[in-house]
Amino acid sequence: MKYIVMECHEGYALLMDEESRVLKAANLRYEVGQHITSPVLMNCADEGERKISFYVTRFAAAAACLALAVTAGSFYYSRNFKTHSTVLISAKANIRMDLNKKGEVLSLSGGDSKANELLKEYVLSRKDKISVARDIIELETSKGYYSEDDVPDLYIKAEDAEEYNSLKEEFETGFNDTQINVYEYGTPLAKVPEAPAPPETKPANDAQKPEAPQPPDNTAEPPAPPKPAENGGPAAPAAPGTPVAPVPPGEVSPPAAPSVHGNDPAKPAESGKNTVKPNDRIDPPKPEGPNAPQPPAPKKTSYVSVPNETADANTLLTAPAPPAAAADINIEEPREALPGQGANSLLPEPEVPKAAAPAPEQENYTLKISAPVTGPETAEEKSEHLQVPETASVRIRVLALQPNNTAPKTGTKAPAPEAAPKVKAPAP
Amino acid sequence: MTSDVHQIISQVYKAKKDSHAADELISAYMPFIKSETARFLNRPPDQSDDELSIAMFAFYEAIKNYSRLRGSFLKFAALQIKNRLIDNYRKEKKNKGQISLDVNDDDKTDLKETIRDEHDDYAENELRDATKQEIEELSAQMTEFGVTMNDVAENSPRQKRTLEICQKAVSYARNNPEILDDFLRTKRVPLAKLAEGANVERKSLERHRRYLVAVLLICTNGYEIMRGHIMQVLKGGEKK
Repeated sequence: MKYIVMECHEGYALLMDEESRVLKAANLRYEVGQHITSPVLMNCADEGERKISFYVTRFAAAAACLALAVTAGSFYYSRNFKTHSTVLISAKANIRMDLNKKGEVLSLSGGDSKANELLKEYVLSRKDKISVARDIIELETSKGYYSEDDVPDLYIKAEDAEEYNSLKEEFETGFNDTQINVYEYGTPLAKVPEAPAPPETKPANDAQKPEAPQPPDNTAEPPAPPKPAENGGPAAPAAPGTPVAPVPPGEVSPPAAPSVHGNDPAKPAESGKNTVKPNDRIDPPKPEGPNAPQPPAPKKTSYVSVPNETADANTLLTAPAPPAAAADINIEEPREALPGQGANSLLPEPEVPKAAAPAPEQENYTLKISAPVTGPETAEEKSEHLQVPETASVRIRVLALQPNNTAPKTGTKAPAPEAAPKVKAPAP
Repeated sequence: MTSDVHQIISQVYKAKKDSHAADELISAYMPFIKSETARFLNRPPDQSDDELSIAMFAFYEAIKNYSRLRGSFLKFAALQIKNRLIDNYRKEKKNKGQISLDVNDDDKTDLKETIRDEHDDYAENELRDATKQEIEELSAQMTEFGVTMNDVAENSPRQKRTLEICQKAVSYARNNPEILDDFLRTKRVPLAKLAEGANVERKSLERHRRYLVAVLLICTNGYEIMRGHIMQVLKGGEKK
């Protein structure tokens, strides 16, 4: 680019370039009107630009200083005032000791009133953690919270395993003359503070669902009556006034010992004859001939497990209900099985009055079926659906059940959470 | 001592606005400038040395760029001189190894005399004189408008976008001679007409009013050499 020298001064010259701008340059012995090509131009910044750059520089410097101060402050706070680890001195008065990154004691806090009372007497003044822990243990011992034979427990909560190990080593080294137990915070207590509570004999009507019994082996011996205190589970209910008989083969055991039979509720449905579904009609066995042996008077109540998905919502109207079975049919069986029926054909004891007892050709049975009453269908409507015609040779009495959360119409609250259809076979 | 410091600073602040005061300050501090140049050259500078001219120019830059926040003026000026000389040295370093035509050989013959001179010194001198005459006329006419060449230099657009805006306005004025006549008659820049006709912001033109005075004067009759010098750019402004 060519320039025309417009003015010459002592220290500079004014040049006009081809873009009609007038510029200042070094006066290398120029003369006015001279055409030059390579001047030394002035790089004078604009006054406004200089002001802006000056303020930007100041602002940047201030921001950098602020950032530096904040970073340093946060680092200092994190190192000195932030709790990085906690030591819990376990005794009757639990005292918590907060430590910073350097291991210095930040604060002491009590977990209960005893600890707070104890801490009122203690002044934390620039002591290291070992001294503080010693002082607290001595204070607790003087208060009688510790006996001389007790071994103090220290629970350390650290951010990582390395810090935990370091603190543990420091405490064990610091208490080399005293025996202490150091645990990581969260591990179970070495001492069991309370004796185990006795098992409850209350029937299970809470949320703990007992395991459904497995279908028993036909050849298995009848299990012993359930012992309620064995596993803390529900006690097997017994019929009022009737002794509890052992369960014969082919029937399931009571839910008092569910763990013996497994916990698969679907298995009883596969056992065919041995299971009764809630809507199934159970035909009682008929005695063969007039010389057929009379079934003995029922002595006990046995339960047939029926899988029922809606068992939680059902309760038996008639008490007592089996406490833990998923869905049981309570059959008051005779003492002995009828001949020719095998072990699976246990007849329920009739509940009908003696005056209304039918002839041997027409036997009365009461089938109590636990089924959910959901929706607008009432218990009576459900009973109608399940009603057996009068022409049937077996008269089945069907009682509808109410869900757990709704009180039955009779006003009795059944304890069992699951459905247990109950079939009572009358005496022939 | 304190009064001397305050005197220098006041002189510097005065020289920032007044070119004559700047020239006087430079003349007053020539020994300082020479000493700084000698420190760089490791020898006393001649009056014909480019380094001395550059050092004087650096001193003038120091006057223009100085503020009280920068501390002592002389230290600041010495730093400016040193930096400028270093920059010039690096620039000239590219031409290292080349022989100057002015240097005499052993047989006391200038190299300049050995090559054919294609320059027409006579035509060159004539052109320079004619240009000088135009510049003097222009300066005199600018004085009537209350504008000096220093004002034009300080008011010239630096950014390319601003330069294009000014060139658009000048091109519009050249295409409309009545605007130039009106400008010469009233001795005021018709900013409203230029902004409206060239479709540019009036505010941008107002910022560079003194620059526009010089260029519009060049665009009037006369000043053919200078108009020819900047015509290429003005044609570019017309195309845009």
